[in-house]
Amino acid sequence: MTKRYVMVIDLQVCTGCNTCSVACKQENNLPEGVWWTQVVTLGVNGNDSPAGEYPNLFMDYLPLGCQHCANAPCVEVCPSSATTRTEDGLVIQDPTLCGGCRYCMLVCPFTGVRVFAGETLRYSLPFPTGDNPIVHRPSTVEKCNFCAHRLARGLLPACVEACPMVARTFGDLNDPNSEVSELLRTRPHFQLLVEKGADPSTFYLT
Amino acid sequence: MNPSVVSDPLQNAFGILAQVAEDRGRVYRWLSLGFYAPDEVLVEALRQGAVKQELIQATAWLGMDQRRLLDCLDGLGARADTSLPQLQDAYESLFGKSVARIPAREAAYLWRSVTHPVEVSSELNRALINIYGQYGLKPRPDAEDSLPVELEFLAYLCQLERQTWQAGTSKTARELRRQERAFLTDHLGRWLPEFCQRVEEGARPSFYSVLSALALRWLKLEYGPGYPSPLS
Repeated sequence: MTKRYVMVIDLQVCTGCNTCSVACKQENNLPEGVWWTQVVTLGVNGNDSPAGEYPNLFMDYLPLGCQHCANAPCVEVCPSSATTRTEDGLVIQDPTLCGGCRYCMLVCPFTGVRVFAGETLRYSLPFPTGDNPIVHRPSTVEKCNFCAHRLARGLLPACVEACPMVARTFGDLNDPNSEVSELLRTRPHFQLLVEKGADPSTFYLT
Repeated sequence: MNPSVVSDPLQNAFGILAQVAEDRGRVYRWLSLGFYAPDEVLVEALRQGAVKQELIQATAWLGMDQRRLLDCLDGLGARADTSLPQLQDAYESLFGKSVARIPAREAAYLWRSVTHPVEVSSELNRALINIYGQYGLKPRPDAEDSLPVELEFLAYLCQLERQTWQAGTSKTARELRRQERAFLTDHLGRWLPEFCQRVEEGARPSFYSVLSALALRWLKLEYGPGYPSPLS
Protein backbone atom coordinates (compact mmCIF):
# COMPACT_ATOMS: atom_id res chain seq x y z
CA MET A 1 0.00 0.00 0.00
CA THR A 2 1.28 3.49 -0.81
CA LYS A 3 1.81 5.99 1.94
CA ARG A 4 -0.33 8.97 2.64
CA TYR A 5 1.70 11.47 4.58
CA VAL A 6 -0.35 13.75 6.80
CA MET A 7 0.32 16.46 9.37
CA VAL A 8 -1.62 16.40 12.62
CA ILE A 9 -1.59 19.61 14.67
CA ASP A 10 -2.80 19.70 18.23
CA LEU A 11 -4.57 23.02 18.74
CA GLN A 12 -4.86 22.28 22.47
CA VAL A 13 -1.12 22.68 22.91
CA CYS A 14 -0.14 25.15 20.16
CA THR A 15 0.81 28.44 21.82
CA GLY A 16 1.22 30.41 18.61
CA CYS A 17 4.94 30.88 19.19
CA ASN A 18 5.71 30.72 15.44
CA THR A 19 8.77 28.53 15.97
CA CYS A 20 7.41 26.37 13.13
CA SER A 21 7.27 29.39 10.82
CA VAL A 22 10.85 30.37 11.61
CA ALA A 23 12.17 26.81 11.38
CA CYS A 24 10.53 26.49 7.96
CA LYS A 25 11.97 29.79 6.81
CA GLN A 26 15.44 28.79 7.93
CA GLU A 27 15.32 25.25 6.57
CA ASN A 28 14.09 26.35 3.15
CA ASN A 29 16.15 29.55 2.89
CA LEU A 30 13.02 31.56 2.23
CA PRO A 31 13.43 35.10 0.88
CA GLU A 32 12.13 38.10 2.79
CA GLY A 33 8.36 38.27 2.82
CA VAL A 34 8.00 34.61 1.84
CA TRP A 35 6.53 32.28 4.45
CA TRP A 36 5.50 28.72 3.72
CA THR A 37 3.87 28.23 7.09
CA GLN A 38 2.40 30.80 9.41
CA VAL A 39 0.34 30.86 12.58
CA VAL A 40 -2.96 32.66 12.32
CA THR A 41 -4.61 34.14 15.41
CA LEU A 42 -8.25 33.20 15.20
CA GLY A 43 -11.11 35.65 15.39
CA VAL A 44 -9.14 38.83 14.77
CA ASN A 45 -7.43 40.73 12.00
CA GLY A 46 -3.75 40.52 12.77
CA ASN A 47 -1.60 38.37 14.94
CA ASP A 48 -1.54 37.99 18.69
CA SER A 49 -4.58 40.13 19.39
CA PRO A 50 -7.25 38.73 21.64
CA ALA A 51 -10.68 37.94 20.24
CA GLY A 52 -13.96 38.31 22.11
CA GLU A 53 -15.07 41.06 24.47
CA TYR A 54 -13.51 41.99 27.79
CA PRO A 55 -13.48 40.23 30.20
CA ASN A 56 -14.18 37.20 28.01
CA LEU A 57 -11.10 37.42 25.85
CA PHE A 58 -9.27 34.51 24.29
CA MET A 59 -6.49 33.81 21.86
CA ASP A 60 -6.58 30.71 19.69
CA TYR A 61 -4.06 29.85 17.04
CA LEU A 62 -4.17 27.99 13.77
CA PRO A 63 -0.88 26.96 12.14
CA LEU A 64 -1.46 27.20 8.41
CA GLY A 65 0.48 25.96 5.41
CA CYS A 66 -0.24 23.99 2.26
CA GLN A 67 -2.80 21.36 3.19
CA HIS A 68 -1.43 18.83 0.65
CA CYS A 69 -4.96 17.93 -0.43
CA ALA A 70 -5.69 14.46 -1.72
CA ASN A 71 -7.94 16.04 -4.39
CA ALA A 72 -5.71 19.03 -4.97
CA PRO A 73 -7.13 21.24 -7.75
CA CYS A 74 -3.78 23.02 -8.05
CA VAL A 75 -2.21 19.85 -9.48
CA GLU A 76 -4.87 19.56 -12.16
CA VAL A 77 -4.65 23.13 -13.44
CA CYS A 78 -0.89 23.82 -13.49
CA PRO A 79 0.02 24.48 -17.16
CA SER A 80 3.73 23.87 -16.64
CA SER A 81 3.51 20.75 -14.48
CA ALA A 82 5.33 22.61 -11.72
CA THR A 83 2.77 21.41 -9.18
CA THR A 84 2.64 17.66 -8.84
CA ARG A 85 1.45 15.10 -6.36
CA THR A 86 3.84 12.37 -5.28
CA GLU A 87 2.75 8.79 -4.67
CA ASP A 88 2.99 9.29 -0.94
CA GLY A 89 0.66 12.27 -0.95
CA LEU A 90 2.96 15.28 -1.04
CA VAL A 91 1.90 18.18 -3.24
CA ILE A 92 5.19 19.53 -4.54
CA GLN A 93 5.83 22.87 -6.22
CA ASP A 94 8.95 23.08 -8.37
CA PRO A 95 9.98 26.71 -8.83
CA THR A 96 12.27 25.83 -11.73
CA LEU A 97 9.21 24.80 -13.76
CA CYS A 98 6.76 27.39 -12.44
CA GLY A 99 5.63 29.89 -15.09
CA GLY A 100 4.21 32.32 -12.55
CA CYS A 101 0.65 32.17 -13.90
CA ARG A 102 -0.79 31.94 -10.36
CA TYR A 103 -3.46 29.45 -11.39
CA CYS A 104 -2.59 27.27 -8.40
CA MET A 105 -3.11 30.21 -6.05
CA LEU A 106 -6.42 31.08 -7.64
CA VAL A 107 -7.93 27.61 -7.38
CA CYS A 108 -6.57 26.75 -3.93
CA PRO A 109 -9.48 26.60 -1.47
CA PHE A 110 -7.24 28.11 1.22
CA THR A 111 -6.08 31.69 1.42
CA GLY A 112 -2.52 32.44 2.34
CA VAL A 113 -0.89 29.04 1.99
CA ARG A 114 0.91 30.00 -1.21
CA VAL A 115 3.15 32.97 -1.81
CA PHE A 116 3.92 34.75 -5.05
CA ALA A 117 7.60 35.60 -4.75
CA GLY A 118 8.28 39.19 -5.81
CA GLU A 119 10.16 40.44 -8.84
CA THR A 120 13.30 40.79 -6.75
CA LEU A 121 14.19 38.29 -4.05
CA ARG A 122 15.99 39.61 -1.01
CA TYR A 123 17.52 37.67 1.85
CA SER A 124 18.22 38.79 5.38
CA LEU A 125 21.47 36.84 5.51
CA PRO A 126 24.31 36.94 2.97
CA PHE A 127 24.48 33.15 2.82
CA PRO A 128 21.87 30.43 2.25
CA THR A 129 20.42 28.67 5.27
CA GLY A 130 18.98 25.20 5.76
CA ASP A 131 19.35 22.02 3.79
CA ASN A 132 16.71 22.44 1.11
CA PRO A 133 18.60 22.66 -2.20
CA ILE A 134 15.73 24.65 -3.75
CA VAL A 135 16.65 27.63 -5.91
CA HIS A 136 14.07 30.35 -5.40
CA ARG A 137 13.11 32.28 -8.53
CA PRO A 138 11.46 35.67 -8.78
CA SER A 139 7.85 35.87 -10.01
CA THR A 140 7.05 32.27 -9.18
CA VAL A 141 4.66 30.68 -6.71
CA GLU A 142 6.04 28.91 -3.67
CA LYS A 143 4.60 26.82 -0.87
CA CYS A 144 5.30 24.18 1.76
CA ASN A 145 6.40 20.82 0.38
CA PHE A 146 6.33 18.98 3.73
CA CYS A 147 10.15 19.13 3.64
CA ALA A 148 10.35 16.43 0.96
CA HIS A 149 14.13 16.74 0.97
CA ARG A 150 14.22 15.82 4.66
CA LEU A 151 11.71 12.98 4.27
CA ALA A 152 13.98 11.53 1.59
CA ARG A 153 16.70 11.34 4.24
CA GLY A 154 14.41 9.78 6.83
CA LEU A 155 13.97 13.03 8.76
CA LEU A 156 10.81 14.79 9.87
CA PRO A 157 9.73 18.15 8.43
CA ALA A 158 11.59 21.04 10.06
CA CYS A 159 8.43 22.49 11.63
CA VAL A 160 7.65 19.19 13.33
CA GLU A 161 11.16 18.84 14.67
CA ALA A 162 11.29 22.43 15.92
CA CYS A 163 7.91 22.73 17.66
CA PRO A 164 8.72 23.22 21.36
CA MET A 165 5.22 22.15 22.39
CA VAL A 166 5.28 18.97 20.29
CA ALA A 167 2.02 20.14 18.76
CA ARG A 168 2.85 18.70 15.36
CA THR A 169 2.90 15.03 14.45
CA PHE A 170 3.76 13.80 10.98
CA GLY A 171 3.37 10.35 9.52
CA ASP A 172 1.66 7.86 7.26
CA LEU A 173 -2.11 7.75 7.57
CA ASN A 174 -2.23 4.49 5.64
CA ASP A 175 -0.21 2.80 8.37
CA PRO A 176 -2.74 1.90 11.10
CA ASN A 177 0.07 1.68 13.64
CA SER A 178 1.46 5.12 12.98
CA GLU A 179 1.22 7.84 15.58
CA VAL A 180 -0.94 10.00 13.30
CA SER A 181 -3.41 7.13 12.79
CA GLU A 182 -3.56 6.60 16.54
CA LEU A 183 -4.16 10.30 17.20
CA LEU A 184 -6.93 10.53 14.62
CA ARG A 185 -8.55 7.38 16.01
CA THR A 186 -8.57 8.64 19.57
CA ARG A 187 -8.88 12.42 19.42
CA PRO A 188 -11.60 14.67 18.01
CA HIS A 189 -10.27 16.45 14.97
CA PHE A 190 -11.21 18.39 11.84
CA GLN A 191 -9.89 19.36 8.44
CA LEU A 192 -10.22 22.86 7.04
CA LEU A 193 -12.99 23.66 4.56
CA VAL A 194 -13.95 20.05 4.16
CA GLU A 195 -17.04 21.15 2.22
CA LYS A 196 -14.73 22.17 -0.65
CA GLY A 197 -14.07 18.50 -1.30
CA ALA A 198 -10.29 18.77 -1.57
CA ASP A 199 -9.62 16.36 1.32
CA PRO A 200 -6.71 18.15 3.05
CA SER A 201 -3.86 16.14 4.54
CA THR A 202 -3.55 18.43 7.51
CA PHE A 203 -5.70 17.52 10.50
CA TYR A 204 -6.30 19.66 13.56
CA LEU A 205 -6.86 18.06 16.96
CA THR A 206 -9.31 19.89 19.19
CA MET B 1 -17.48 17.53 10.88
CA ASN B 2 -19.50 16.09 8.01
CA PRO B 3 -20.90 18.76 5.74
CA SER B 4 -24.07 17.74 3.95
CA VAL B 5 -22.93 19.21 0.66
CA VAL B 6 -19.38 18.67 -0.58
CA SER B 7 -18.49 20.51 -3.75
CA ASP B 8 -16.32 19.20 -6.56
CA PRO B 9 -12.98 21.05 -6.22
CA LEU B 10 -12.14 20.60 -9.89
CA GLN B 11 -15.41 22.05 -11.11
CA ASN B 12 -14.87 25.04 -8.83
CA ALA B 13 -11.31 25.42 -10.09
CA PHE B 14 -12.34 25.27 -13.74
CA GLY B 15 -15.03 27.89 -13.12
CA ILE B 16 -12.50 30.23 -11.50
CA LEU B 17 -10.00 29.80 -14.31
CA ALA B 18 -12.65 30.27 -17.00
CA GLN B 19 -13.37 33.66 -15.46
CA VAL B 20 -9.67 34.50 -15.19
CA ALA B 21 -9.10 33.56 -18.85
CA GLU B 22 -12.06 35.75 -19.80
CA ASP B 23 -10.60 38.63 -17.76
CA ARG B 24 -7.13 38.26 -19.23
CA GLY B 25 -8.67 38.22 -22.69
CA ARG B 26 -10.45 41.49 -21.93
CA VAL B 27 -7.15 43.12 -20.99
CA TYR B 28 -5.49 41.97 -24.22
CA ARG B 29 -8.55 43.10 -26.20
CA TRP B 30 -8.47 46.62 -24.78
CA LEU B 31 -4.72 46.86 -25.33
CA SER B 32 -5.21 45.69 -28.91
CA LEU B 33 -8.05 48.13 -29.52
CA GLY B 34 -5.93 50.93 -28.08
CA PHE B 35 -3.05 50.28 -30.45
CA TYR B 36 -5.20 50.08 -33.60
CA ALA B 37 -5.72 53.39 -35.38
CA PRO B 38 -8.11 55.31 -33.11
CA ASP B 39 -11.79 55.35 -33.89
CA GLU B 40 -15.03 56.62 -32.41
CA VAL B 41 -15.55 53.40 -30.39
CA LEU B 42 -12.32 53.96 -28.46
CA VAL B 43 -13.02 57.66 -27.92
CA GLU B 44 -16.51 56.89 -26.63
CA ALA B 45 -15.19 54.21 -24.27
CA LEU B 46 -12.63 56.67 -22.91
CA ARG B 47 -15.28 59.38 -22.59
CA GLN B 48 -17.55 57.12 -20.55
CA GLY B 49 -14.72 55.75 -18.42
CA ALA B 50 -15.51 52.25 -19.67
CA VAL B 51 -11.87 51.39 -20.41
CA LYS B 52 -10.71 52.06 -16.88
CA GLN B 53 -13.76 50.49 -15.30
CA GLU B 54 -13.57 47.32 -17.33
CA LEU B 55 -9.82 46.93 -16.86
CA ILE B 56 -10.17 47.34 -13.10
CA GLN B 57 -12.74 44.55 -13.09
CA ALA B 58 -10.65 42.40 -15.43
CA THR B 59 -7.54 42.60 -13.26
CA ALA B 60 -9.19 42.18 -9.85
CA TRP B 61 -8.05 38.54 -9.76
CA LEU B 62 -4.46 39.76 -9.37
CA GLY B 63 -5.26 40.74 -5.78
CA MET B 64 -2.50 42.87 -4.29
CA ASP B 65 -0.58 42.92 -7.56
CA GLN B 66 -3.38 44.85 -9.21
CA ARG B 67 -1.79 47.87 -7.55
CA ARG B 68 1.01 47.70 -10.10
CA LEU B 69 -1.49 48.68 -12.80
CA LEU B 70 -3.61 51.20 -10.95
CA ASP B 71 -1.76 54.39 -11.82
CA CYS B 72 -1.89 53.44 -15.51
CA LEU B 73 -5.60 52.71 -15.21
CA ASP B 74 -6.09 56.07 -13.49
CA GLY B 75 -4.15 57.60 -16.37
CA LEU B 76 -6.59 56.09 -18.85
CA GLY B 77 -9.50 57.30 -16.74
CA ALA B 78 -8.08 60.82 -16.92
CA ARG B 79 -8.27 60.76 -20.75
CA ALA B 80 -12.05 61.14 -20.80
CA ASP B 81 -11.92 64.46 -22.64
CA THR B 82 -9.64 63.25 -25.44
CA SER B 83 -11.16 63.88 -28.85
CA LEU B 84 -10.79 61.71 -31.92
CA PRO B 85 -8.68 64.28 -33.82
CA GLN B 86 -6.32 64.56 -30.82
CA LEU B 87 -5.93 60.79 -30.71
CA GLN B 88 -5.41 60.59 -34.45
CA ASP B 89 -2.72 63.28 -34.30
CA ALA B 90 -0.91 61.51 -31.47
CA TYR B 91 -1.21 58.17 -33.26
CA GLU B 92 0.14 59.56 -36.53
CA SER B 93 3.05 61.35 -34.91
CA LEU B 94 4.08 58.24 -32.99
CA PHE B 95 3.32 55.37 -35.32
CA GLY B 96 2.43 56.99 -38.64
CA LYS B 97 4.60 57.91 -41.58
CA SER B 98 6.72 60.48 -39.79
CA VAL B 99 10.52 60.13 -39.84
CA ALA B 100 10.64 59.87 -36.05
CA ARG B 101 7.93 57.24 -35.87
CA ILE B 102 8.15 54.28 -33.52
CA PRO B 103 7.43 51.12 -35.47
CA ALA B 104 4.66 49.05 -33.92
CA ARG B 105 5.74 45.89 -35.73
CA GLU B 106 7.78 42.97 -34.52
CA ALA B 107 10.01 42.82 -37.61
CA ALA B 108 11.40 46.30 -36.91
CA TYR B 109 12.94 45.10 -33.67
CA LEU B 110 14.54 41.96 -35.03
CA TRP B 111 16.26 43.35 -38.09
CA ARG B 112 19.20 45.03 -36.44
CA SER B 113 20.84 41.83 -35.27
CA VAL B 114 20.71 39.97 -38.57
CA THR B 115 22.54 40.18 -41.88
CA HIS B 116 19.57 39.64 -44.17
CA PRO B 117 16.70 41.59 -42.67
CA VAL B 118 14.30 41.09 -45.55
CA GLU B 119 14.61 37.32 -45.35
CA VAL B 120 14.13 37.37 -41.60
CA SER B 121 11.08 39.58 -41.97
CA SER B 122 9.39 37.26 -44.44
CA GLU B 123 10.38 34.27 -42.33
CA LEU B 124 8.78 35.95 -39.31
CA ASN B 125 5.61 36.63 -41.27
CA ARG B 126 5.48 33.03 -42.43
CA ALA B 127 5.92 31.82 -38.85
CA LEU B 128 3.16 34.10 -37.60
CA ILE B 129 0.79 33.15 -40.43
CA ASN B 130 1.45 29.54 -39.55
CA ILE B 131 0.68 30.12 -35.85
CA TYR B 132 -2.49 32.08 -36.59
CA GLY B 133 -3.49 29.48 -39.16
CA GLN B 134 -3.38 26.72 -36.53
CA TYR B 135 -6.34 28.46 -34.92
CA GLY B 136 -8.13 29.18 -38.19
CA LEU B 137 -7.19 32.86 -38.15
CA LYS B 138 -6.03 34.92 -41.10
CA PRO B 139 -5.06 38.51 -40.33
CA ARG B 140 -5.01 41.26 -42.90
CA PRO B 141 -2.02 40.73 -45.23
CA ASP B 142 1.10 42.57 -44.14
CA ALA B 143 -0.28 43.12 -40.63
CA GLU B 144 0.75 39.78 -39.17
CA ASP B 145 3.47 41.17 -36.95
CA SER B 146 1.73 44.40 -35.95
CA LEU B 147 1.22 45.10 -32.26
CA PRO B 148 -2.59 45.19 -32.21
CA VAL B 149 -2.78 41.94 -34.21
CA GLU B 150 -0.41 40.10 -31.86
CA LEU B 151 -2.37 41.40 -28.87
CA GLU B 152 -5.67 40.44 -30.49
CA PHE B 153 -4.32 36.95 -31.09
CA LEU B 154 -3.58 36.57 -27.39
CA ALA B 155 -7.09 37.81 -26.60
CA TYR B 156 -8.40 35.10 -28.91
CA LEU B 157 -6.31 32.40 -27.23
CA CYS B 158 -7.62 33.52 -23.84
CA GLN B 159 -11.15 33.25 -25.20
CA LEU B 160 -10.45 29.69 -26.36
CA GLU B 161 -8.92 28.91 -23.00
CA ARG B 162 -12.05 30.18 -21.26
CA GLN B 163 -14.21 27.91 -23.37
CA THR B 164 -12.06 24.86 -22.64
CA TRP B 165 -12.07 25.48 -18.88
CA GLN B 166 -15.84 25.83 -19.06
CA ALA B 167 -16.06 22.55 -20.95
CA GLY B 168 -13.93 20.88 -18.27
CA THR B 169 -11.22 19.88 -20.73
CA SER B 170 -8.33 20.87 -18.54
CA LYS B 171 -5.65 19.25 -20.67
CA THR B 172 -6.53 21.47 -23.64
CA ALA B 173 -6.91 24.50 -21.40
CA ARG B 174 -3.43 23.95 -19.94
CA GLU B 175 -2.03 23.52 -23.44
CA LEU B 176 -3.63 26.81 -24.51
CA ARG B 177 -2.13 28.57 -21.49
CA ARG B 178 1.26 27.22 -22.53
CA GLN B 179 0.67 28.49 -26.07
CA GLU B 180 -0.12 31.94 -24.73
CA ARG B 181 3.10 31.95 -22.76
CA ALA B 182 5.08 30.61 -25.71
CA PHE B 183 3.74 33.41 -27.90
CA LEU B 184 5.03 35.92 -25.37
CA THR B 185 8.42 34.21 -25.28
CA ASP B 186 8.75 33.85 -29.05
CA HIS B 187 7.09 37.05 -30.23
CA LEU B 188 5.45 39.80 -28.23
CA GLY B 189 7.78 39.57 -25.24
CA ARG B 190 10.84 39.94 -27.48
CA TRP B 191 9.99 43.41 -28.69
CA LEU B 192 7.18 44.94 -26.65
CA PRO B 193 9.52 46.08 -23.83
CA GLU B 194 11.67 48.11 -26.24
CA PHE B 195 8.64 49.43 -28.08
CA CYS B 196 6.99 50.58 -24.86
CA GLN B 197 10.18 52.12 -23.58
CA ARG B 198 10.53 54.14 -26.79
CA VAL B 199 6.92 55.31 -26.64
CA GLU B 200 7.24 56.31 -23.02
CA GLU B 201 10.47 58.18 -23.68
CA GLY B 202 9.41 59.69 -26.97
CA ALA B 203 5.84 60.68 -26.39
CA ARG B 204 4.58 63.66 -24.49
CA PRO B 205 2.13 62.54 -21.84
CA SER B 206 -0.72 61.17 -23.91
CA PHE B 207 -3.10 58.28 -24.18
CA TYR B 208 -0.38 56.27 -25.89
CA SER B 209 2.28 56.85 -23.24
CA VAL B 210 -0.19 55.62 -20.61
CA LEU B 211 -1.28 52.69 -22.77
CA SER B 212 2.35 51.67 -23.37
CA ALA B 213 3.13 51.79 -19.67
CA LEU B 214 0.09 49.63 -19.02
CA ALA B 215 1.06 47.17 -21.76
CA LEU B 216 4.55 46.87 -20.32
CA ARG B 217 3.37 46.23 -16.78
CA TRP B 218 0.77 43.77 -17.97
CA LEU B 219 3.40 41.94 -19.99
CA LYS B 220 5.61 41.72 -16.90
CA LEU B 221 2.77 40.21 -14.90
CA GLU B 222 1.89 37.78 -17.67
CA TYR B 223 5.45 36.84 -18.41
CA GLY B 224 6.39 35.67 -14.94
CA PRO B 225 9.96 34.43 -14.44
CA GLY B 226 12.62 35.25 -17.01
CA TYR B 227 11.12 38.56 -18.08
CA PRO B 228 13.42 40.11 -20.69
CA SER B 229 14.82 43.59 -20.22
CA PRO B 230 14.43 46.04 -23.09
CA LEU B 231 16.99 45.39 -25.79
CA SER B 232 18.22 48.95 -26.23
